[in-house]
Amino acid sequence: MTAEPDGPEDRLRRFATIWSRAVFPVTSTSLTRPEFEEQLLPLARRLSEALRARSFEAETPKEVGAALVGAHCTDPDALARSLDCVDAYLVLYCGEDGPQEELRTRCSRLQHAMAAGFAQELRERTLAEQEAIAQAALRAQGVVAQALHASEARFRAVFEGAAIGIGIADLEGNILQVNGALVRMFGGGEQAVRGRNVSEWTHADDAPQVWRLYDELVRGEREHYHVEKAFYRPDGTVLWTNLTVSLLRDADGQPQYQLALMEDTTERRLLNLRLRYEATHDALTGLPTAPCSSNAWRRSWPPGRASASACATWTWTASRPSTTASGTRPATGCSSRSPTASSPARPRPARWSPGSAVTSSWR
Amino acid sequence: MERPAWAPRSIDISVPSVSRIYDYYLGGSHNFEVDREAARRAMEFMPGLPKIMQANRAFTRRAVRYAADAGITQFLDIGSGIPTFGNVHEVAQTARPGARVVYVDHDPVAVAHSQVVLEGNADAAVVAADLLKPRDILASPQVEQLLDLERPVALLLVAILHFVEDTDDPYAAVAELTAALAPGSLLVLTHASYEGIPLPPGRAEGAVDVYRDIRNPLIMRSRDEIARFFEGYDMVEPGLVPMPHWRPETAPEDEDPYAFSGFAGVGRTS
Ligand SMILES: C[S@@+](CC[C@H](N)C(=O)[O-])C[C@H]1O[C@@H](n2cnc3c(N)ncnc32)[C@H](O)[C@@H]1O
Repeated sequence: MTAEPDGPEDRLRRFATIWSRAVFPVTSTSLTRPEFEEQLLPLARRLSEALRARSFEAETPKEVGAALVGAHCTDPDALARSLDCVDAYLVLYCGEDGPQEELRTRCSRLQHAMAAGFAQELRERTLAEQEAIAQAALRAQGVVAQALHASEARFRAVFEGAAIGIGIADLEGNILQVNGALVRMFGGGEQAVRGRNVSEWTHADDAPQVWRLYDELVRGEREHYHVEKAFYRPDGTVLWTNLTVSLLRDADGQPQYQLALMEDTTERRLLNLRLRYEATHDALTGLPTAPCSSNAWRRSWPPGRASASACATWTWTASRPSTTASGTRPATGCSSRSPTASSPARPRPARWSPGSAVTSSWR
Repeated sequence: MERPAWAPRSIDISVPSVSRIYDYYLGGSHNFEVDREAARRAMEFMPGLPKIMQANRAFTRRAVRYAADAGITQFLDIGSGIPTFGNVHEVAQTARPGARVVYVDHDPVAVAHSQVVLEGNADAAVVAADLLKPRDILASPQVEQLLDLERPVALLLVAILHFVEDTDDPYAAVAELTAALAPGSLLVLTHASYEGIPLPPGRAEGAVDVYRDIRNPLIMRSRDEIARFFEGYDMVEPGLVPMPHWRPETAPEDEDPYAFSGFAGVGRTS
């Protein structure tokens, strides 16, 4: 727009320039000062027209006040500076030759309405933004809760479905959570494990390092350990396990829980011992055939039903592929003869195949 | 049992967030009292913080327009924060209708808010991801849908790298990102620094401490350290400079003294 020097348009622009210079330092706009001035120019024009309009109406100056907020002048100083500017320069630059007294009165009223419009809009905007951010926080929380839920569901499925016994205890040894497999290993009674303390689980056959490793772990000096450990079942039988205990830390690295993973090795152990027994005793007379101690065998042969039935279901099958882990292969013990060779009553070549009682603990 | 350690953290709005503090500096109300409290404490040491942020936004605006003028129509803005006004997509799409913009932030609240703001904008989207996991960003559906990595992209890392500690190797993350970009891509970056702050060093440290206290340490780097992010780039004139000196549209002398804190630069891959 070409403005005739010192014509009304030129004077209006000069007013807008002054206004933008006054307010720009207290805005947070990313516009440059001249760009910001372009935003103020139409507002200046409306004020100028309202100043000279025949009758006063508050709507226009209110909208101008609101538009300031729209131009990201949310600092109250932006209003103070705007009003200073209108007060000092609007009549001077835009009053043309109107009656001074009336123009001044009108100018005051314009400012009052501008202030009201600004306050109203700032309030609206503040509330809207507060609402928006609260909603965003809620929605984000929902997303996290969902992810958490999914992660927990996954965890629970793994935890409950695992064939391996899993238990979680705090660092004082209080057992917080155990899965079904672990409960079954202990004979099926929940009260045998839930709510108990790990320190109650001493056993006569505990290797000397078992509890030293435990202490180191709960003190945070060790991340995990792995031992073979026996437990008493409530019915008095023994449960042998391969036990791995790990320290769980929180996000800040502080030790929080201990996680025990146990594999029931009772049957495997009995089997090994039994094979060793058979390898070293005459099948008919039961008398030792080799000078091998069978103390361990006697000590570990429990009268309990679980072990007995497990043993009973072990079967010989010819040429079926082994489904057991390599660790369950019969040990030859102290005898140089192979176990199969010592059992002439059974079908000759053999592979071990686990019977149902053994595999059931892995279901 | 409590939350497993591997589960995502919940949103704790009693903890101040960098993006909401930033919104407060810019005069917004997308923030909570904890955020304002932290912002006010930082401003006790550096009253001009809002002016730094404003200069940062103004630089971003000029840089995005520069990129658009140079023919770039794709923008990847990492650490985009809470959309307020003069957002990258507004500037870019005004300069080049149809320009594609992908925002990335790791603040879930900022992301949730961005989603609402971008609703209905087919050419812009937001990803919840971490700058330190460039693959998560590059392989996101949003990036795959909106950006053609065979063509140049403007990668914006504006006021984010100073939130990454050296132990997390921000240089490696930036290198991995830019390695995925086509020749002619731009790296647009601003970074906080003690250099240029119109205060004795001790004062500015007070503000830095506030960020340490809210567990979002502000890593002030020297100009040389910041320049290393551009290794292998052709610097766009005038190079790495205080924000008001980067291709100014108005006289830098008119700027607030605080606006000269830290550095801004744009580099081009060849
Ligand atoms: C100061 S704000 C800058 C916002 C915007 N880039 C600007 O300059 O206007 C920094 C933003 O970076 C985000 N941020 C910090 N570290 C991040 C990371 N490692 N990955 C993704 N976003 C991050 C914060 O959540 C915050 O929103």
